[in-house]
Amino acid sequence: MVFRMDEDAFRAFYDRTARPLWAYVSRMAGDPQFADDLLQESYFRFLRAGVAWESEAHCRRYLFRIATNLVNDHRWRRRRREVPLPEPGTAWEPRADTDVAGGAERRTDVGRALARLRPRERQLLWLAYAEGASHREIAAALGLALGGIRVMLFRARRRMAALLAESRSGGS
Amino acid sequence: MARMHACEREPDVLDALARDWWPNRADDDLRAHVAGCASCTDLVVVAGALQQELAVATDARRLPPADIVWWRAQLRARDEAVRRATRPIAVAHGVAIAVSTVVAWEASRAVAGWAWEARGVLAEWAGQCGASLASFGAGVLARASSGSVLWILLIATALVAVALTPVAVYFAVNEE
Repeated sequence: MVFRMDEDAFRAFYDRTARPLWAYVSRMAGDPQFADDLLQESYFRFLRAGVAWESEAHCRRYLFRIATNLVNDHRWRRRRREVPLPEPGTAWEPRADTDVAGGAERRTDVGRALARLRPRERQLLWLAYAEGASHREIAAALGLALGGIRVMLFRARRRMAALLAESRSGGS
Repeated sequence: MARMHACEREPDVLDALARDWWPNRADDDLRAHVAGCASCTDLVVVAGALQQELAVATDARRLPPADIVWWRAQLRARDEAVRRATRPIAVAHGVAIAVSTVVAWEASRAVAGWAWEARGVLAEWAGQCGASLASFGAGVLARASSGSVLWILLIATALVAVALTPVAVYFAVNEE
């Protein structure tokens, strides 16, 4: 046995967490292809760390913390402050088989707005509103002090709402 | 300046969004509140957009099965374990090569110096006694001091040291 977690437990955990984790890293890194690598790397580091199974939520927070650190490392390596907006037809472009025109346009707006946020704001908003994480869980996943989450989240939300409004009103 | 505190009705708004009740199945009271609350309006816009984004992202992508991820992680963990286990041996190997080289160099200098002196003594003997044996010995030592035999011996010693050091390290660090 190489890891502390056995294969059956891992399979169940993976089935419950892989899709939300992939969605998180793909939106944070801005690159779906790279998200595949990050997904594998996140689970490998999670298994290697031998996290004690306190609860599903605990392991999930740990996994998202690992993924967040990997995304941050990736960004620092590229030495860019913002993840660039991918070209149309790649990351944020809606898929023809899953979307209708209105939804596609709306999600393109969301992708553009996300891309214009600071990385930390993206992470906060995604964890809070896509993942439904509590402030405590967000603090644990991002390695932030619990006390500052509320204000940071409020500011990030206001900024994204303004970007969405700007995008939908035809601004750049 | 905008208010910096979240509205107390945000949990209700988030709950309605999570249950997919917003806006049609939400309470009239809540809808009226959101219409007049900038914070909750932002929340509806942002949370609604991100939840749709999540739904699309999770539905559209084919992810590798858990078995594959598990198998790759196992392989990688084993590779890392092998690298960790062999690292002390590799380090010891390098140290042994370095030490052997230095020792060989110093030994060759010492022996060459000794041979040179001994050859002088034997040559003096040969001059005094005319003994052919002394001349023969001087010849052997001269060849040794020129390096060929001496170097072969020293290199062989170094190779033995390099080969045996990892084995010695293995037995030293092996707990079983």
